[in-house]
Formats: sequence, structure tokens, C-alpha cells
Amino acid sequence: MSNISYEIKGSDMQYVEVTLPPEGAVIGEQGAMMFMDENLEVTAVLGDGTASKFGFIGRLLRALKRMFTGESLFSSRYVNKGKEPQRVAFATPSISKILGINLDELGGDLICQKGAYLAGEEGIQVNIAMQKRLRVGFFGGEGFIMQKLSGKGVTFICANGALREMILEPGQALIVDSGCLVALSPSVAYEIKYAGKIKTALFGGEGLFYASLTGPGKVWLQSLPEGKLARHIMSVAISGKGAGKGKLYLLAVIAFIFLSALGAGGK
Amino acid sequence: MVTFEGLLYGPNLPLAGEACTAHFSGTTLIVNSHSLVVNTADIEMKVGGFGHDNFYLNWKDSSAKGFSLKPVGRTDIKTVIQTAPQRLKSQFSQWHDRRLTIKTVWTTIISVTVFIVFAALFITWRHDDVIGWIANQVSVKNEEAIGQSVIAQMQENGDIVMEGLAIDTIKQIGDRLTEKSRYEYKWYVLLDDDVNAFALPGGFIVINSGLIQKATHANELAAVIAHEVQHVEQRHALKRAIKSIGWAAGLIIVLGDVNAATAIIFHQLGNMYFSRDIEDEADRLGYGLLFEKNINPEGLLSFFKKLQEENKSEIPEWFSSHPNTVERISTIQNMLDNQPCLACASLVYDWKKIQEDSAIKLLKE
Repeated sequence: MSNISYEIKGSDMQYVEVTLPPEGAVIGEQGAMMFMDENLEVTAVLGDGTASKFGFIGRLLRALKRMFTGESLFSSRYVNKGKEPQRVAFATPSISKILGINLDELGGDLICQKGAYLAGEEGIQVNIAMQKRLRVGFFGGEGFIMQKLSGKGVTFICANGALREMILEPGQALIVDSGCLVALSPSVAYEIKYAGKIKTALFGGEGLFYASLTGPGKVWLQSLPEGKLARHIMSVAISGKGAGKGKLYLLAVIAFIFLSALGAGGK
Repeated sequence: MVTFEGLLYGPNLPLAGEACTAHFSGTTLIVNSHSLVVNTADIEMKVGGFGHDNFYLNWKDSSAKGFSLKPVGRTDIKTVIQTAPQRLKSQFSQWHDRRLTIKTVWTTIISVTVFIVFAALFITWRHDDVIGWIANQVSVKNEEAIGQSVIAQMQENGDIVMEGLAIDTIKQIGDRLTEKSRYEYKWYVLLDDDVNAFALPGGFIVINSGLIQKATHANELAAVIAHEVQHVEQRHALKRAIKSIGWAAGLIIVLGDVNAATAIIFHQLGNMYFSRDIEDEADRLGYGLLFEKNINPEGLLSFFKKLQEENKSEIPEWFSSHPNTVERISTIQNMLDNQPCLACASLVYDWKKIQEDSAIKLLKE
């Protein structure tokens, strides 16, 4: 049973407020902390802070591997050193929502998109989940590297747009647009299907391939992948919709991207 | 009856599946722990899991609720494959194929990457050997074509002598030195006061008239010829062209684009400095050639020494383009001391008369 309680707040840009019991600990991504109570002790830990049987070298290697999944080399550990419950809040680095997922319900493992991990209970490991099928890697919309979160307790991941979680029955298949997949339990088969009809492929706007998810298991979907949003904003900015203010839009977008990059760099 | 362990997914079962034991009996699958009996005809096998390395036995019960059974470990998978009834077994080929494809694809990707990395390392490490190998891919015919067109360009500029006493002498000595060569050597004198000689790919040897005037004995001429012949035999000009212009040039030359290769080599003629290693090689092999043909090899040494002792502010080109002359003189001296050629004899020519050959006189003023 999870020993922390949490509340996700906000609408389209969310933060999660975690309440830690005395001696309770939580690990957060670098720079994700929004506010916290004063009796929390913060320490920087290498990687996800979990021990390795190969000692320091093992931890360093795992931290480096973790960097490939879009996370930083170090993360922060927040421990409640007081007698009273203490709060700490983590905010998303972008226009994102937060999903709180209890790994215990999934058998201890969760696969999620690159860079999705925000925070989690102490002991949760962030590993590389390497996509072995070339076609899924190239056309699945998630690339070859995803994150595998394993351990016990609650973990928080980021997603964009409106969210939908769905339980797939054994053998039940779901077709999703590439990029809309946020997370899936490891028992779900993640494959690529050809669109089949040339006309659909060319004019359907969905490309040549569909991602197909087959149960049993649970999947989490997002309505607006960041890339899709960025492309739309860029096209609006360049075409200058809105009374010839195109250049102003473009400047605003460049400023926005620049600031986001700064934010991502400091993450 | 061999049982295997699995995870059972289905209605009212945990999301992450529930541990179970099962076995095949005749054409049915019996899940002992959950008291389920399934006709294998209803079972459809699907490759699954994020790693595409496991499979799921899917079926629907009488109320159309979906169930799924996943063998947990390697041994359980093996058990299923071995004990499943025949009609189910035929479905396993999908799983085998998928695994085989993934394995083949990644093995290929990794081997190609490793091969490219090692090839790059090898080429860097054995640079000279690789260049030599490329140069050796050029056919003698192509080499001759390259040399021929360079000579043709020089002839257009004039001043190439192809007949006369000097040419006859060079030809005599040269033919003796290149008796059994795969190349058909051609001999030229260039009317030029610089003391110089050079070799073109395919066996074209050009001696400057200035060098004939400077030499005092036919032995010295023979030594220079032997040295230049080794440049041809060892394909030094090609190797140098490949090295300096790059691998693209190597490809052009190997493929036999004579025009491009000619342009490169002709361009280099003006500043044709071979590296010390290459000159050493030509010296050493040239010495061996003289030795083999019983021509007194002291000519090379005496010619070198003479040039070095002369006016040092005006060092002749053939000499200056050969680096580390002092060292080379001592190397040649060593070869003379260590393996003196007892059977060797000096060449007998009326050297003065050769020098007086009107064909090689520069038309001054």
C-alpha cells in the first residue's frame, strides 16, 4: 500500500501536491518542485536514487541510461524529517497534465513515453524500454526508446491535452494515432498496422501506419501530443492568421520556444 | 501431464493478471487453479508484451468474455510449445518468425555497425597498406593510359626529345634494368636545365637534359634510372595521388577514369615530393635492381655526393625534392659496405659523346 497521499490540482497545466508522512520520501525530477513545507530535507541523488549491486559504478551507469529516456542525471530526494506530515508540490515543465499511477495495480511495471516521468515514491526505477521492432520504432510515434518505470507505489507522469485511460480486455485491439500513446502496461502488445488503403493513407491525414494496442492491460492516451501542438502553432504563426499579425505571432512563438528550451535545459 | 505456470487475465481478475497453473489434456487446455476447461480450437495465439518476446493464449468463454493466459518464464513457454496439441502448434510459427525476424534485424544492424567501425579503424591504422592495395587494383593498361596522356600533355608543351644518342643510351641501360617487368617502359628526355628526373605511372621515365649534363658517368645515370624505375614498379605516383586527393581519387583511378587521373597527376608534377619512406624504398629497391643486373651501384652514391658538395645555395631539384639527403647518403653507404656487389661492373659508354648529343642541347637565347 502506498504510504503517501496526493492531490492533482489545476486544469490544463497541473501540479501535484504530495503529502509525506514522517520519514516518508519522494523522488522528483530536477527543477520540478513548485513549493514545499519547511521541514523537508532535500538532497540531490544520482539517477533515481535506487541502490545497485554494482555500487557507485552501477548507479552511475543506470543514471546515464536514464538520461537517454529524457531525464536528467540527478534527481532530488525529499524526506520528511519532522513529526507532522509535510507537503511538496511538483509542477509540469510544459502545458501538461499529470497522471498519478499506482504501479502495484499493474504488477510493478509501467511503460511510458520518453521524458514523461515527473516524480514518484522512493525506490521506483526509471529504465530504458527499448523498442525491438523497427517498424514500431520508426512509425509508432514514440521512437525506439521509451521509459520503463518499475517498483512499488505511486508514480507521476506528464501528458498533454485531454486524457483517457482505458482497460483493454484480452484480445481487444485499439487503434490510436501515433504520438497519442502516453503509457501502457507491459502486457499490452504495441504494434504497427498498415493503413491498407492507399486513398486513406494519402488523404486520411493519419499517415501510412496506425499504432495498434492489443490487450490484456491498461493504456493511457493523450489528445494533444506536444509535437502536434507545436506544429499547429507554427503553421498558424507562419500563415499569419489573425489580421496580418503573422510576424508578431512568429516572434511570440520564437520567444515561447526559447523560454521552453530554457525551461527544459534547467529541468 | 506437464503443468506450466502462467498469468491469467480476464473478467474479475486483477489488471496485472493472476498467477495460475495449467496443462494440456488431449485437445483441451485445463487451468487447474481456476477450474477452467477450454477447447483448444477456440484458442487464438498472439505474440505480445512490450518486448514482443512472449505470447498470449486468448479465448472467449460461453458468455463472450475474453480470457488470456500468458506463460511466465522461458521454461513455461517451452512447456507450452512442446505439450500443446497439434492444431495449436501450427500457430506458434508466428511467434517463432517474429522472434527470428527481430533477432536477424538486430544482429544485422549491430554487425554492420561493428563492421563499419572496425573498417574505419583498420583504414586509419593501416593507412599505407590500404592505399597500396587500392593502387594495386589499377590495371597496368589503365596506368599506361594515364602515363600516356600525361606525356601527351607534356609533348604539347614541347621540349620532349624522343631520339638521339642520349635516348639510345638511356634506352639501352633502361631495357637492361627492366628486362622482365610487367611494364613496357618508354624513355624520354626533357630539355630543361634543372637536374631532375621523374617517373609516370605505366612506365614512362623522363630524364631532364640538365641531369645528363651534371652526371659524369653512365653508372650515375643507371642509378637514377633504377631509382625511377622503382617508383613505377611500386606505383608510388598512384599511391601519392590517392593519398593526397583522397579516396574519391582512388575510386576514380581504380574505375579507370583516365582523364580525371591524368589531371590529378599532371597537376602534381610541379611539386612531386615523395615522402622520405617512399624515397628510401626507391633507393633500397633501386640498389637491389642495380645489384641484380650487375651494374656498379656506386653511381647513386657518387651522384648524390657530387650534388651535395656543389654550390649549396643552388641545390638541384632532383636532389632537393628528396628529403634528408645526408641520411640517405649514409644509408646508401651502409648498403654498399654491407652487401658489396662483387660481380658488378661499371657501364662502358663514351659519356662525353652522349653529353654532346645535339638532340639534348637546349636552344639557348
